[in-house]
Amino acid sequence: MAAEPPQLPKPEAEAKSAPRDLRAELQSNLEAEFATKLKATGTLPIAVTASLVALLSASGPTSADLIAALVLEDPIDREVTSE
Amino acid sequence: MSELIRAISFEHFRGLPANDFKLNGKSLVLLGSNGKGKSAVVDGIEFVFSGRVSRFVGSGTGSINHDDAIQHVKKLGIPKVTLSLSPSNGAISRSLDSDSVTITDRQAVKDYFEQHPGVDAFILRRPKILDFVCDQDADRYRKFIQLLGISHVDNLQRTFVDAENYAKDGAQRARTSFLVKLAVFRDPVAKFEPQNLDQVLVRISEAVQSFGLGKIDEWPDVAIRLPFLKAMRPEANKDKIDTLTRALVSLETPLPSDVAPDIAKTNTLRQKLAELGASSADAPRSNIITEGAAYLIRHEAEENCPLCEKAFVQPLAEVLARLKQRSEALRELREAEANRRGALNRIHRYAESTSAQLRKDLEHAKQFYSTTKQTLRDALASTLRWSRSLKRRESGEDSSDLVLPPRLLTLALTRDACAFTLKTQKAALVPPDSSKLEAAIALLERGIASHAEIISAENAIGGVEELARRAGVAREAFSKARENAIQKVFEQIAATVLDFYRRLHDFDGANERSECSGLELKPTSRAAAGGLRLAIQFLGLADSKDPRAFLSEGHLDSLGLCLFLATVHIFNPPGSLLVLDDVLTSIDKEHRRRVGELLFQEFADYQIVLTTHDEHWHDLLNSSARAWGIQGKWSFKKVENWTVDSGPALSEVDYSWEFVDAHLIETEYRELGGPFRLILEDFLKRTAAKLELKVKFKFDGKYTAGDFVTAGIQDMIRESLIKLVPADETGVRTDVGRVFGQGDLVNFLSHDNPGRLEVTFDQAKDFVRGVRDLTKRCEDHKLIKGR
Repeated sequence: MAAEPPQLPKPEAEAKSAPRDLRAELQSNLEAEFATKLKATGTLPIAVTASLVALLSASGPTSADLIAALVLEDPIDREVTSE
Repeated sequence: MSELIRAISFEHFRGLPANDFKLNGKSLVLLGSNGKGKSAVVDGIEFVFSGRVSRFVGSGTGSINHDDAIQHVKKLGIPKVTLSLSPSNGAISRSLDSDSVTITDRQAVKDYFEQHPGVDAFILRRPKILDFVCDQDADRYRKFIQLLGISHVDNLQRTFVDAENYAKDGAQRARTSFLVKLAVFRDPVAKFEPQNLDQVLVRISEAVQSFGLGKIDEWPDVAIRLPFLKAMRPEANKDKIDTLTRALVSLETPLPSDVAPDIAKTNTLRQKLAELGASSADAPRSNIITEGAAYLIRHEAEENCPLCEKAFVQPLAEVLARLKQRSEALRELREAEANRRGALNRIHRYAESTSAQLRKDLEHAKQFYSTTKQTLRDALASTLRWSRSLKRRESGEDSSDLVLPPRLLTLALTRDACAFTLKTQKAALVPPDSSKLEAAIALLERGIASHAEIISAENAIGGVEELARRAGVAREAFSKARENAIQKVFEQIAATVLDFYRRLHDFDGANERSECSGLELKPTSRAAAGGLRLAIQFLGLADSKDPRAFLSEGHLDSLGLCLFLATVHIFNPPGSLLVLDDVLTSIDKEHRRRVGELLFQEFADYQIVLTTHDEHWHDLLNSSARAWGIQGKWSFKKVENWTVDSGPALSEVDYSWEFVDAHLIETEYRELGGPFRLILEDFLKRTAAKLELKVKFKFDGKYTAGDFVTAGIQDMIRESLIKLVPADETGVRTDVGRVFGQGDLVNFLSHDNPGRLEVTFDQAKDFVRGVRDLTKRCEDHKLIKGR
């Protein structure tokens, strides 16, 4: 005779956890952290910071896009001081 | 993802010459002893998705030839594997004689294929179970980044680094250009090597002071003092000397810096762009794709395409994911284009500066030998033609490699030689006692000629150095943001792994514990290059350590399984495939049961293909599926035997009463021979076990209904039930008659037997009713073993 069939396991309450969209979380964390850290440096024009953060939200900026953002100047008070 | 595999068909593939595995959209548990073709099924799935079977390629495979290995031993045809899908009724197939996979031209089928990540992300084989645990940090990091589908984050990191390097490179070029321009004032004899214009002005001032003139504090004064110096020289030859001096000032002005690196870069990028352009049919639509992705990110509730206004056929998240994927490929294209434009611009500026300098040189052409004059004119013409061709390249006409015009290769030598000749001529004209004065005049002439350009070069440095500083600040901010954001994601992955691991190991009150209090997936300090450390906290120790330092082989296996399952659960969409090929050999019975429960709990939405040679686990999964009420989602097949000509012979292990009920209709009941046999044998085995019926021993353990009937089980059941419930004797006799009194009903239906046509629908219904009623009676009176 074949081995005795195993005992039925007791069904437990459904514990399936909802999958999280880690990619979306990563993107939003990345954007928030980047904006915070750029502002914290306090050494970039506001226009540069805003433009870089916007580029991060868009998809696939190139280094040329970044350079174009980095050369921006604030219209009135220039906050950047040359080293 | 709504598509599921209906069947997997094999032709001439390994041990599967012409075999179909029907899944009907269910998960499959394939039971079979070694060498029965189970792993060939997994090989086939891998082959369809990746075009190869990884265990036959790479290190450690010795002399195995992949293409030979996946062919059926008799080589009667081309190996081919087909996944048939439902509900689209489409298919994905691949054969060895084709480089590409064949996919039915339906969006749902294409999506099913595309949305499956690399095979390592959904197929786990026994030898690979420890990969995630034992991987080098760098390999583990790379795998997770690929699984996360966030290579764009690393691409962004590279883009910030590229931008910083570009800005630093620009600053370095500006500094070099400035120093090259200053170098015309170098005087090796006096060890004078100016670093700025102020030092040059001091030297000019010292020169004029040595002739009794006043100190010079500002550059405009240089031009004022020059006539005073000139007035001190003898009359003879002074015009000729002046002419030669001005010619020498021009010839000694250096040409722009070396352009060869930019030419090489342009050519490399031209080649890359050709490849990227050819591989991306979307290249002309790159801006639309990028803008579309950006628009949908801002409009999360959008249900229609913003361009054509038609409703999305996929959920927005999937549309966005596809757009991002395309956008990422196009970003690489645009990056290469931008880099090429930048390099071409610099080359163009080089050409313009060179032609401008040659024009200045040729203003003094009367002083040159005719051959030199002609050489410089040819070089100028060549430079102008080159400059025009560069403009055409900038506008897209770029079909060949860029080369520096040959005349420019020797230009510096020509100018040096010409300058040497003019210096010799000048020296012959200058009286010995005037040489110091002429040197001073030449210095002032050089200062006047170069001052404006050097000031311009000096000013340019400030701008590009500020750009480089800003690029550095931005790169640093992004690097830190990226590290922190990725760390948070890995913390969540680690939490899922730990949760799964504890569910396998913490049970039975406190009697069975994993002793694992924490698990870390931590990007290492080399994270920018890619490193991810796996560590656990064990037995309450404060320091986390490599799990291999603590865990047994079985626990490491289950940790490896949990790492794999956690990544599948987090990264792979519901409805996608999960393939586990004989992965639980070192895990004991109780832990296997927990693995089964984990699969039922967390992977109910996935289509699982699971192979095992462990009959106990197979039976346990089968009974568990019924206990969970999900038997309709699972198919249990057993490989009974295997032959080289026909491959594996399968038996359906389907005790499901729902299956019998669903097919017990007039048009299908004659196909139910197999299921009838299984439910009857299941009933007989369990009652025989409870009633302790003596059955003739069979060494292979393969007892059939006939074995129990021969041993008199029908009498034993009838008498036992009547003894327990005498009042129901008629009912018991009727049910026993329905099950055992129908001759060869099951045999007739189980084979292609002409007798099957004699079995009526009513007889089949009576049989099923009899088995069901007798099972119920035996259960009510505890005459049957539970499963």
